[in-house]
Amino acid sequence: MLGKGGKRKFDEYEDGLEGKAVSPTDGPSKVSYTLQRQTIFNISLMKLYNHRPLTEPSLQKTVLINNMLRRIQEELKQEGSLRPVFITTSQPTDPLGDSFREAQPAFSHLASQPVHPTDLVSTTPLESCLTPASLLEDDTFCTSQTVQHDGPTKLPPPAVQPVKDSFSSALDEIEELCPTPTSTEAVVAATEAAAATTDDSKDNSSESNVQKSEGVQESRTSESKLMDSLPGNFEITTSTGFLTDLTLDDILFADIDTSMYDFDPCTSATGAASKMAPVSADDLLKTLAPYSSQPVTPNQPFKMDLTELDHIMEVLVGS
Amino acid sequence: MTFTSPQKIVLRVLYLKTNKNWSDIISTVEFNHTGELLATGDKGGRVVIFQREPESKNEPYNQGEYNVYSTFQSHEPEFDYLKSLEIEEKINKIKWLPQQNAAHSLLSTNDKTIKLWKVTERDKRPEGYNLKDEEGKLKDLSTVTSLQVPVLKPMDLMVEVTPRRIFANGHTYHVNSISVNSDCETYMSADDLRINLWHLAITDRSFNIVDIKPANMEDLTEVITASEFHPHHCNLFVYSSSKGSLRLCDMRASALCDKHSKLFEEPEDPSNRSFFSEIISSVSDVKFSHSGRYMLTRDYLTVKVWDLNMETKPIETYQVHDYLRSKLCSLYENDCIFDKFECAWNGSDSVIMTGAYNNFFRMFDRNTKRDVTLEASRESSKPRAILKPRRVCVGGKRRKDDISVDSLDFTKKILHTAWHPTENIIAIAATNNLYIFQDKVNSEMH
Repeated sequence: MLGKGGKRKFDEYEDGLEGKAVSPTDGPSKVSYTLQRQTIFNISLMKLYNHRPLTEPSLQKTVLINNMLRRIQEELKQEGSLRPVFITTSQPTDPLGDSFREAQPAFSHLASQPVHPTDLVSTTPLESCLTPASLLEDDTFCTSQTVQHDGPTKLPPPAVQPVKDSFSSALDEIEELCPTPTSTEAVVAATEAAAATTDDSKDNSSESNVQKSEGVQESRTSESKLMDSLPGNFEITTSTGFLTDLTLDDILFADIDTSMYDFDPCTSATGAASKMAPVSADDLLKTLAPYSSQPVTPNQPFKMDLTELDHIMEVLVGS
Repeated sequence: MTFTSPQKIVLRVLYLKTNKNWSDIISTVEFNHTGELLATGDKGGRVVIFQREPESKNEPYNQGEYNVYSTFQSHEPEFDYLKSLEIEEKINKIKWLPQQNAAHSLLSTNDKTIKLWKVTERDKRPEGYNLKDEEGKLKDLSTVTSLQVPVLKPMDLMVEVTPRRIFANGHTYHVNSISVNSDCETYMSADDLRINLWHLAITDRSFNIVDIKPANMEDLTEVITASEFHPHHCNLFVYSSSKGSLRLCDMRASALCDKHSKLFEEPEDPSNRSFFSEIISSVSDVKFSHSGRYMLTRDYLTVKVWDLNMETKPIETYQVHDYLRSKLCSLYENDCIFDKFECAWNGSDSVIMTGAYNNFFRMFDRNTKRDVTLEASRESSKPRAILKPRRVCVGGKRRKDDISVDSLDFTKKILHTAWHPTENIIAIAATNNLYIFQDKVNSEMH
């Protein structure tokens, strides 16, 4: 069970992160930096994998989101490079949450070690990971991501119908971390062929489907092993993301309470149309509103009591 | 002609055109080379051409208004069977060809196919045939006693638009720009990864002049966002990328212009670095100045003027809506950060214009360094009303009529704007409404 964090004042971080240069080595803003980074990472994932347009998605948008994910992934890799595998091999059905929980205490072990310039999380005490959402930028859309701060991937999954195909290709993605060329090459080949609009493309795509299903078999057995090697489990490469249609949520969030699905797509006060799946930042705001003593609108700063936050986390973690 | 309001930039509403069908979001606006015609393309694949009425001394208030000249369906939705995806009929760009005879020609493109349209007028028709009567039925020859020469008689003006060329199957990715060369014989079309050179008369062949597709698509990190031919040098063109760089290429150097002649790139400002630095640096539009000496680029928060002779940094940078810098995370989440705003020069290259949110658009006078924010909305745009400058307040003192950043409407975005080639008349597309504004000073001269 994650412990409780100290309460911090909103004022200290009023300017938010985006207006200033945030160096990972700054003291108190390190945590905010990590949180923001994680928020952006999750948003990016959702953008790539939940959008099912009738027309081809914009390649520019996909490339930019991919670059964002890669950059974050690089940073995390650099941070993670100091830490050898601390995670034990016992893998429950929710490998993500458990491995993250196990990783947390591991972080504090490193406090005494020389700090890599980008290895900011390791010196952060456990409690600070529970900083309330109000510490994030003054931007209220992002503050709704408070729900996730107990773990990088406790994002309520959107109501996307898991497709068998996407599930297996999602496993392929994880498999990619122990680089096995078969699945990614198949995916690339399929999309290359489709892009070239040749007659062979049909053959290639059926080939890739075959290879994908093969990938399912082998990756299922190795899945637990792969989960082990991922501290925090957010180093999933998405390099082929813009060319495949997959949902990581199927594997990562299997145990998450899905009651979040049922909210209608929001129409925020600014009218900003979110192209994402039904659960958006504003939905989270709405669901959390009952827990808050203040009326919550997207344009007001989002403040919550820590106890209410704990309550929510308990529900999510299921303890 | 310079923008002459001595004290401030004042615009008068000339005219408002509304598409009755709510789904007809205007997707492109373009004046022709004389400014007599204004073409708009919409999401439904239609093109509407407006023509400026000649100004008459009898009616001094009829200041050369733009009226509908012709409407036609340019593109239809298609289906890509291979990928099981629809191909949108939305018109991405319209470019006029320089007029070479009585007819007008324009190129229109959607994501995949470019079409050349010829716009002709017919205001006379022949009457008095020998073998046919007025309805076209064959005459009974026994009634024909003498020969007559058919004469041309005036008729109601009829505007005919015919497709002359269809340039299909040239692009795997989505076409974002087309640009007619100054040689008036060729044009280029650019998609996310490639730029093709076409001859206006040849539809079954095009030449690839830029290809940035990596061998392995997994390595793709940069796409082409816009491109344009130089207005005077038929061998030069520029293309912009999603990483904020501009590449000037010379077609004389080699057949495949993957190697640029000049690379224009501004180093990142370390004090403004954030997660979104790359995304907001993506150039959404690039336009050569009329003089050909400068380029104008638009990225998410700024417009920049570049001198072709200096590659290291722009000579001028104007903040369009810097108050959004602290909102980038939510703008990323609701996809607004990917909005592609266009930019425009005025005829004398002294004023630049671009759109923003909340139906605001901005103009920057390069000489006086003054700028103004104006709004294109029905409420503030009664015909012949003077547009009032708007202000966005970012905390601190708030004046009356100021809009606060939090109450900006991000669904009301002005992406497409156009400036008359010689006069101070601008066309602003606000979702499905077209606004035409004219400089007040001009109108007083009549």
